[in-house]
Amino acid sequence: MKYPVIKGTGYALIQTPGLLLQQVNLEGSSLRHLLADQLRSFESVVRYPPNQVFIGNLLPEELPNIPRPWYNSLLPNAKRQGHFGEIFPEDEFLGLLNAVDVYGLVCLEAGFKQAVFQKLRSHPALFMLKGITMDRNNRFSYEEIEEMIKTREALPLTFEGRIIGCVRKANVSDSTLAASRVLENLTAKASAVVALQLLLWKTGLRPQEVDYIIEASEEACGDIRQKGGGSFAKSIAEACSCSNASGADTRAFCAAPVHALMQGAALVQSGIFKNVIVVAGGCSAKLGLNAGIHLKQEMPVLEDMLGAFAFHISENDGINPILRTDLIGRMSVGCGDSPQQVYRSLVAEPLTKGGYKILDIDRYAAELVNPEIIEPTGCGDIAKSNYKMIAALGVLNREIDRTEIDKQIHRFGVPGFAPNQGHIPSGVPYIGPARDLILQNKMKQVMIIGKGSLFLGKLTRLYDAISLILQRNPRLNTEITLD
Amino acid sequence: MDQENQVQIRELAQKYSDKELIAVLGSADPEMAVIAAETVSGGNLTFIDPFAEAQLGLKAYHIVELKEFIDPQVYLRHMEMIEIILDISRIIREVSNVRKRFFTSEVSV
Repeated sequence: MKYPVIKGTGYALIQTPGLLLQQVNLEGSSLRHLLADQLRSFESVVRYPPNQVFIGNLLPEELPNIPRPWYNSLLPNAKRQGHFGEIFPEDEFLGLLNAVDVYGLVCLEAGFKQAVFQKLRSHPALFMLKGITMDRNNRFSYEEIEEMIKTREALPLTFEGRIIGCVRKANVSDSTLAASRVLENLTAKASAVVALQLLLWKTGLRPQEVDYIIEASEEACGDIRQKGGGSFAKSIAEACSCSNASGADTRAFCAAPVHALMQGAALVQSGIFKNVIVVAGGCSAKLGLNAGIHLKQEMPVLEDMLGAFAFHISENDGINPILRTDLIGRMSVGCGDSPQQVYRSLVAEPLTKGGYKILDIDRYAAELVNPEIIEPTGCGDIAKSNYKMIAALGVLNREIDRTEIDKQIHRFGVPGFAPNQGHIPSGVPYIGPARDLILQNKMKQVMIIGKGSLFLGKLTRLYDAISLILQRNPRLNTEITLD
Repeated sequence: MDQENQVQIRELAQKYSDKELIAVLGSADPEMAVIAAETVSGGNLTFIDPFAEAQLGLKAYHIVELKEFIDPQVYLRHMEMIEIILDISRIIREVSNVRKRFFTSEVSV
């Protein structure tokens, strides 16, 4: 079978403390002043170990060796540039919001815009963005920005506590196009654009070679008559000059990225398209989601980051790891929702079909949210909970001895390191490290698991889960090792 | 336990008496099970509004406490795997302690 391959990856992290405070305001929380005192500096964000893992300067497997709390174990000499991607400060992101906005809704003060565009023009991956090279001359004075905030329901944009711009509403009466929704959607678009642009720059894939883009975030763009009409995908393709691409959005809450990978793989394997991109940006509504709890625990506000990723799925080149499209694990409607039934469908069934045992998989990657963020909420280490279930399934199948559960979890479970809950952690942050480790012949196969809380939408009480296996390319000579 | 679930439980508790209703918990984590048990027994312990004034007075049992009341085949199908990793004795001890604290006449099942 001509399996498709994961040919390249791009990851971005963006620190947005100003958007975090904006989000807290929108939710009517009284925490704003407390939070403002606990925000992290950009330097501490860059030096934070889980963030260094996300951009590829550290393996997730190395995290357990770093003493917790990680916010007190900041790494010396850490860089914002990484093997897979980069960490961006908020001013550059606000410039990007402006650069990807084609309706003139993101208004920046003239001096701020000039300074930040100068920074973006010197960035090796971002300078060629259409919105940067063909800058529309829409500069505003502080007075004009204040006026829009006071009288036209525009939302302020801040950098280091100072108002430097605003986002306008896109329609007089349509709440779907209120300034808060415009900001949320442009945030998802702009951060996805960064991830894709990093992928194109790092891998050498030319924008015009991209045939199709599947966007897999959890946002909905549209207007009052079609609230989730889409398409983030095509807008991202346009912003990144992928002139031969079209695309569409896939939604399944946090499981969407893995659904999108499967769909992209199917498009390539069937011969419909040669080069498919799966991409998703970050969610501004998740900024500071558990900030109140973190404050009570006297922790820094760790959910100040937007994550974004992009993956290139392409025809089998005989080198890159293949996506085993014949071994998809899924949670069908009839599967039920007890962990036992779910993990049988998700893990045991595809493995059995492929002739594999649970321990044949080198790593499992599921719900990779950073435990330091989620444990204070009382939910425990979510990634580890998944691995416990897989180990228990192994005990039930008589593959693992009960006394070896902890040892096996430590061996095959990828520790969490993603910056928030939601679609970003859904197994896919490990695709970058997995691709490298498989290419270096340090691993054979990895299972990526996405799980989504469908019930939050109130259309069903079900949740969802889907798994796929990334495997060493059988055509790759095992004597060749690639960096 | 999310806010909507809490609202639903409050509505059911108000409609039916505590003699007709118990809460059945499924959390794999003893601490989470205790928080949920305290929430349905006593009220506002998860700091979420709908329970702020309500004293629901519902007894909470973890599913592992009700094993003997469930068809063994059904129980096995859903619970055999997760029992391997649950700290069953701690869950039973802590959830039944919540009942003893809120309902003085309570004895363990």
